[in-house]
Amino acid sequence: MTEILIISHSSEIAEGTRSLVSQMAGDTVIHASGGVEGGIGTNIDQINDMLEKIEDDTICFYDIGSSRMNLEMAVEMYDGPHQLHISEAPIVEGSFLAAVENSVGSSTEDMLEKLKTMKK
Amino acid sequence: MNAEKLLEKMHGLKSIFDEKESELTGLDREIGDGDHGVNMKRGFSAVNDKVSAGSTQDILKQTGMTLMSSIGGASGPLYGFSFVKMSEVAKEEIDGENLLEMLEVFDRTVAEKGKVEGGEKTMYDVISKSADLLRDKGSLSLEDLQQLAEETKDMIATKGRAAYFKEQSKGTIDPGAQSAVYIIHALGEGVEND
Repeated sequence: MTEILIISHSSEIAEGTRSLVSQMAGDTVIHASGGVEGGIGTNIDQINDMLEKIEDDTICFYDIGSSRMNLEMAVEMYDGPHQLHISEAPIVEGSFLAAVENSVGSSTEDMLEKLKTMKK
Repeated sequence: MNAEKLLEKMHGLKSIFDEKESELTGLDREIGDGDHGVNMKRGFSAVNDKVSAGSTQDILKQTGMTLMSSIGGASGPLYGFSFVKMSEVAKEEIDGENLLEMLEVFDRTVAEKGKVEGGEKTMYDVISKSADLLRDKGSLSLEDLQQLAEETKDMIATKGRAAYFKEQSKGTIDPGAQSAVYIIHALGEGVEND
C-alpha cells in the first residue's frame, strides 16, 4: 500500500499533520519528520532516516524553502527498491487526500493524478 | 591531481574557512542571516575529521555527504550535493580536462537544485563562470576567481535570503559567491588545463 512521507521545517507541523491524517485513514503508513536538532529546519539526514523505513512506493510532501531541495536530493540518492514520488500539493491537503484515496484502494498513479490538481 | 593531493586540499579548506569565518560572517550579516562563516567552518571541520582516505571519487563523495549533513541553510545541500555529483565524473588523476567536466557538473547541479540563474547574486555567479575561466586562462587563480565574486557586489539579489534586502543588497559581495571562490580555488590549484 502506498506510503506517505511528510517533511516539514517544524516538528509540530509534521506531527500535527500526521495525527490529522491518521484520524481519517489510520491504516495508511505515514512517515513524518520536522525540524532539525530541536529547532526549525530540514536536512538530508532527517529525510534519509525516513527513507530507510519505507516499505512500499511512497508519495512525499514538503513545505517551504529548502525542504524541497533536500527532499529532491535525498530522493535522487535513494537506492532502495521502492518508487518515490514528490508531490507539489500542500502537505496538509495533499497528504490528507492521499491517505483517503489510499483507504479506498486507489493506485499510486491515480493518487498522483488527483494530487496534481492541488497546487501550492 | 591524485587522491592524496585532493584529500590534502579538502582538509586544507578547514584552515581556509577558519581564517575566513569572520569575513564570510561579515558579508552575510550585511545581506543575510549572518551564519555563513560559521556554517562553512563547521562543514569543513567535519570534512577534516571524517574524510580520511580512498580514491578521488570516494573523497569527493564523502566530502559531499559530510557537507550536506553539517552545513545549515541552502549552501550545505548545494555544495554537498555538487561534490557528490562531481565524484561521479572524477578520474583517478584529475587533469585540466577532467576538472572542466567537474566544474560543468558543479554548475548544472547548483543551477538545477538551487533553481538559480546567473546575475542573481549567489554562489552560482562564481561557479557558473569558473569553467570558462579555466578554458580561457588555463588555470584558476585566486585573483581571477575573486574578480568573479567582486562582480556580485553591484548585483541586486533576487534569490535566497539576500533577496529580502532588495536594493540594499547592493554594495556587498555575496557570501556564497565568496565561499565558492575558496572551494573552486582548492579544487583547481595545481591543475592546469593545457
